Amino acid sequence: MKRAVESTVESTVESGTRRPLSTLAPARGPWNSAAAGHLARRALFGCGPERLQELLELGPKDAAATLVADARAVLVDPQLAAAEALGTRAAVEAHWMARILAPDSTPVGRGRLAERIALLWHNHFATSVVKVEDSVLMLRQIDTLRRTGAGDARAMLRSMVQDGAMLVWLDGDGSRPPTPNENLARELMELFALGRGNYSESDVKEAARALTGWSVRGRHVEFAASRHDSGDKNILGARAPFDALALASHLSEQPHFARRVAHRLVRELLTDGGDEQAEAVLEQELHAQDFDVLGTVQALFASELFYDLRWREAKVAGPVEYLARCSLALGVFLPPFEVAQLAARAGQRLFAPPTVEGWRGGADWMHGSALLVRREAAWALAQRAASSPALRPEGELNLSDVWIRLHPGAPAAVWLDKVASMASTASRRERDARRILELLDAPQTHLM
Amino acid sequence: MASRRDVLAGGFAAGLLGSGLLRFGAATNSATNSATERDTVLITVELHGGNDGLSTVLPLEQERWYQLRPTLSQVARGSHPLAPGWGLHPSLPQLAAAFAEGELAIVHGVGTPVPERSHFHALELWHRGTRVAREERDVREGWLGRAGKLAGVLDAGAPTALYAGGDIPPLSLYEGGQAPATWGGRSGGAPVASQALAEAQVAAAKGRTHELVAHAREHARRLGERIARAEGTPLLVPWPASGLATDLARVARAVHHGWGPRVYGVVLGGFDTHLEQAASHERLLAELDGALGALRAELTQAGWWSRTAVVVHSEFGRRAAENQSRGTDHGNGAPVLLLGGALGGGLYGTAPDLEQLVDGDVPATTDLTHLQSTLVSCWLEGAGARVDDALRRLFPGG
Repeated sequence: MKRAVESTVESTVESGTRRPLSTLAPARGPWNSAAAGHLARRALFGCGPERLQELLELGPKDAAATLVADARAVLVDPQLAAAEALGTRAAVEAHWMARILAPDSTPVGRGRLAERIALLWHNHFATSVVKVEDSVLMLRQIDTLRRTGAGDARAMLRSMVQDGAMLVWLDGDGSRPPTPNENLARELMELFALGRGNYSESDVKEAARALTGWSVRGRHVEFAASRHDSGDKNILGARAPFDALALASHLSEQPHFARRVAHRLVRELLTDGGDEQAEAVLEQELHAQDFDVLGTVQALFASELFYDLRWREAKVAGPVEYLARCSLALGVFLPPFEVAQLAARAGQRLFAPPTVEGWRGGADWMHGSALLVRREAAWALAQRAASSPALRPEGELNLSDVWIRLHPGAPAAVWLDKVASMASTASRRERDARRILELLDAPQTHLM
Repeated sequence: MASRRDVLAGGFAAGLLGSGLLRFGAATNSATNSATERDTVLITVELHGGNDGLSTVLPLEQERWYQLRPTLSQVARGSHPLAPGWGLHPSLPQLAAAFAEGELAIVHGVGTPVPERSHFHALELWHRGTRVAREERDVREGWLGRAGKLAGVLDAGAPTALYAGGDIPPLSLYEGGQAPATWGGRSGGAPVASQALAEAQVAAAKGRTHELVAHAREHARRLGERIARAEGTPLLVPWPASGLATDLARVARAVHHGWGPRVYGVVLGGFDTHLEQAASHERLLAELDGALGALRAELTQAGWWSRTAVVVHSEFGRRAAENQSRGTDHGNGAPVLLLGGALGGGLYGTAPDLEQLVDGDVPATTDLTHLQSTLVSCWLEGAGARVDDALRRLFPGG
């Protein structure tokens, strides 16, 4: 891996303007349903058996290319205006959840990677409706992140300094000289672009001056030159009359920016705790891809690194991931609003991360009350699944098929016979639902 | 106009600690054995959105109130008299009865020293119980979660705090980044897994993350058993049909069926009454009154009422004047209600004087953190506890 990184650096120097090749070594390990299942869980929140078969037949390189092409085809949400017209918090949550749960057979479902990446950026630019108090502004932010966050990460950063929800959330709204609000400037540096320790207090103060002049009136984002500090600012070693866009560009040109983006990709797509080595490789890849996010993700999904066995079923599924993967694998669905509520009660309300640092994820998802809510959701799904003809090929529930749908390529769990032999005086339908419940709520199913 | 009792010596934040308010200390002091002393429980009812204090506890004899609130002051008619000059909203008959029997204390003008008009920031201040330094903000922790941990549990293995409700638990009940135990959603939810299966799954777990999840599930299964047991037990009195009543009935069951935590929380939302306030506020207070009345009857029958303190609060009060839409906007100080069989009733704190508004608001004359620390140190820890220690532990950095 290290050699690959070095050779890219060289080729960048030698080739001048020509884009260097991927720094990620291509996948060489066995390509089987376990590997394809891993890809489906991380890229699509899981999928049904038909789509899995399709990925399996394509091989890792073409599978990654297909996933990305399908996502690029659905970045524009044709129903955005309709959702805005409804405008309530419930309608807006349901709208996004419906895209996340779109079945494999639909274009949005085929392109679910777009929603996976939008959720990833939602957790990075973590903005909450609790303070913004306008669900439409929140919906617009996610729409912006879906579009800009699929392409050039530097353009995404620029889009966020002019975003209405972001301006309200971090007090950029109404910030003006001589006492600019420093909140947005600080988070831009600390969380969004550079990371702690990579800037000074004076950089924050100067950046806050650059961000003055913006306000949010109703849902209108406005800039007034009269409320903007147009003087020179000293930021990270450069002196210029920075405004918001120039500041965002400047930050995205800092060496730490690519690392910050790589850190997010690794945390969300590979491993909860982050991984220095993987981040270094992805940082190089981002440069190689000229900061194109989906291009980088495609290279990752086709790489040896991605299929390393140490990541397999070793990442705790967040509530949204968990509910989506259960539904998509079994092909049974609850109303999107209900799913949004269940996810919220399990600790992840869309549009309402707890702090600007987002959901911490990992072990934090695994507390008793949240797991009871997951079980309640699993029970609702299991009751539907017990009547699904697809899961009862000959009128009888095929329990090992349910297991394989949830865990493609994984050996049957040693406790599976305990579930199969669960005694019950209830009806057959009820008994089947209880069996499916135990597979949906199995420890493995809470792992991605 | 103000009685001696209305004015606590020392002005702002002199605190209820030194005032002898709240006879909490006396109640716990008189307990003869330590087990009983530790048996006290604290139940919080959070009114989210900013409850209008001046439409809850009514300054009936202040001419200015009628001038500032031409439509909203109509609740004077049918109000329940508390003390000379003061009444309760007409929708609060059961709270009025509790007041008459010395079981409702009202603390005027509770809030933050610097007015905070954002729901988000005001709630965070109340929930955390302190202005938290930036470095600490990523620890999700609140005053009740910490209090529950300090107070200990009544039953080994019990959770230290319980949230009853179908939404995300409020930050107040978090401790060390962990959400409180939660009892919400539909009753009769998913069937509880068998212990044998859970044990087999724990045994089969391979790798650190897998083990972590398997153990967490086993923990959740035991919590599910507790809920299932409590759900099967009958209530002792009739309860009204409302969301808040459902939540408080679960709290009551958890208390008298020995769930074990000493700190409980419920939330009633909808108090952000910017327009046409009168009707919605009346409905909300009626829901509050019905549920608290039933809680009082239930826990009295169960023999727990004298060991129970209920605190009803909101993130802030509302402006003294009503707005053009017959609603009210975000304000500052507001009354906090304290209800319990051994609390001692009455009106406490500095009564709002509408001729002495600060920037159009009833000012905060009692710092909410002082009220919180009083409740924890006196009610949960007992009068013998070192208050200073409790303060330091409860409000690190505050």
